[in-house]
Amino acid sequence: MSLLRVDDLRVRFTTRRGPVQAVDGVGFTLERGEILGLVGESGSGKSQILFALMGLLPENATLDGTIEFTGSGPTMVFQDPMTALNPYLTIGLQIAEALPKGLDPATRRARIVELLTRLRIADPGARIDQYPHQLSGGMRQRIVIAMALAAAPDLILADEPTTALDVTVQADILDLFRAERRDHGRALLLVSHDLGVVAGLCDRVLVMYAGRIVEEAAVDDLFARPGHPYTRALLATVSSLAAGDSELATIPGAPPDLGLPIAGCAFAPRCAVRIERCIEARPAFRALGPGHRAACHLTKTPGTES
Amino acid sequence: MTLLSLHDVSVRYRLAGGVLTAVDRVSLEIAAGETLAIVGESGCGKSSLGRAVVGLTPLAAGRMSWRGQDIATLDPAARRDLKRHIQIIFQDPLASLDPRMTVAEAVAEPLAVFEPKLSRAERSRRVAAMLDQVELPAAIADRLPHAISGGQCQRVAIARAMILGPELLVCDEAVSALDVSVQAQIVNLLQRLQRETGLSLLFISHGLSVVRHLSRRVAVLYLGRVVETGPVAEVFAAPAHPYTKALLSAVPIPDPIAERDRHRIILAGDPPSPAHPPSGCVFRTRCPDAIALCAEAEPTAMALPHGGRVSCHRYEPSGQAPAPGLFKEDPLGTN
Repeated sequence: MSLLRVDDLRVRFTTRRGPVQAVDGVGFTLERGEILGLVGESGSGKSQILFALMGLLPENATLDGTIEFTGSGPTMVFQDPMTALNPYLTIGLQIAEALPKGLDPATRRARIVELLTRLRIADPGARIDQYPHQLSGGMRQRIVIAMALAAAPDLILADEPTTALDVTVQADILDLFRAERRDHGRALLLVSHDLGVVAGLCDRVLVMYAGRIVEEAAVDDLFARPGHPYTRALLATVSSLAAGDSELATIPGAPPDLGLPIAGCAFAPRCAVRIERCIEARPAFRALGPGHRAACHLTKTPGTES
Repeated sequence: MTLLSLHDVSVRYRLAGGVLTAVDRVSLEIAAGETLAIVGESGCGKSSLGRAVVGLTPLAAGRMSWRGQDIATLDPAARRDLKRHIQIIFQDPLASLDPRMTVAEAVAEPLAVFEPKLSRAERSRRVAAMLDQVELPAAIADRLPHAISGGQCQRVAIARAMILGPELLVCDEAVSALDVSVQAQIVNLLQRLQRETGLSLLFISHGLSVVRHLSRRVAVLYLGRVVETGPVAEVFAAPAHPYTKALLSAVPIPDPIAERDRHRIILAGDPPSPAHPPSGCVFRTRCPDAIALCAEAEPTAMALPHGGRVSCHRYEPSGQAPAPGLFKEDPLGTN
């Protein structure tokens, strides 16, 4: 049985301008010890999926669909460690909140020091009594991760956990997630817009566009054989930067207004290869290979004629 | 020819507990029409440097020259004129635009300040032409910043900076907050403006791939000091300073196979606070190659074969080990 199973998840916000469909029928599974990436541009709904899983959606949101989770957790790591930490509490007290109740003070302190050591925080015995403002950005994010790990979760949800950090510090934080998976079998659902981070950390990737998953693949397959035109356009932008093209590849147009109903494929208005059917009918997933599928009318499943 | 040169420029801030030196004796030159990149991590002083160049932050020490003339010796009229020639755009375009000013008003405002005698019709014509030049549809001229996208906001900020016909545009993390496809559009726009107007760019960024794409020369800052300079292609292919090596090796590569083979230099600890920089070489507390000398004496800048400079006691001019990581064989490069 999968650690996490999400089926036909829908998140709709009621706003003054009318309803906004932020997540529009998303389904996926996540296995124990797996690192799954959720990529897409701003407003594609990736963070809302994490909020839905944590039960943190705001009051004006309506949630539909099924979420089955069998394990401890999940816990969540946010992008900005400064807003995730309470400025008035010491590091030790904040981590203690996430530890099991009823531990005696000495054991509790020992557990916190052990967590801080695991996160490679120098001098944990002194850090435990400090306040967030006394720490660097990278160290604060490690504290946030320590809070997420304190409950020994089977699944960690991380929303752009390294985006606010410097690149040398980011590398260190990504290593921590790898170690938690390797040593404790913890699964990670990583939201990121950085395809470099995703390439280096994830086993599998879901590509989101306008609240929908448009492609799902093992990380190697996604980068080697992207199936959906949106994924291809996204990767072309990135590789054109790496290749030193004089003019960078771009995706013309802008994402659709999620306050308006989308009848066909959400990417169709910007798609270079769209046909009439793309405007009219929402494409179903088609298999491109084992564990690899894309929601595109033009996808040819290997070995079949469509 | 040299447009702007900085000689031993320092920027300091007074804090409750003392003085923070954000930029420490930095010397750089920007030629007309070229792009100089400033790279480095949080707290390295790159934004303070950019703000000092446009006059938003005073120099605590050092000299700045424009076309060979010391800016401090300029008369008030010439100094005012210089503000037209040096413009800046920031990371968060929404925060840098007045929320109550329409797109057209925001772009027209610099004209109202610097060319007050312009007729209303002529001003509108200039604004319309500028919006067209940054590829914004005329239909958004009457919208407010919150009603347009982030990429469009950054185009408005660029239009506002470009309408006075500047010769130098400082871009402080100008594409860092944008989605990757929008980022590419803005980078293309900056390059086109540069081709069309001969504009120089001071491109401040922590995004090394974009820097590689846009710039000819790069200066690497760490804790307020320039640790290495040189042509981008050479510096990224064979970094001479241990910090530059670590920085380049830490950049994730958008390719899972290359990522698995990547050799990363892991730096010990976090960057020290610029309020309390280490003695000697500022990088020594995290440097894998540090020796006793590094704590005692500040390294002087040494010339590199490609014309750049490096400040490191451990640098040996010949027989260098090849640079690790991302840019090993310069796979990103065209040259």
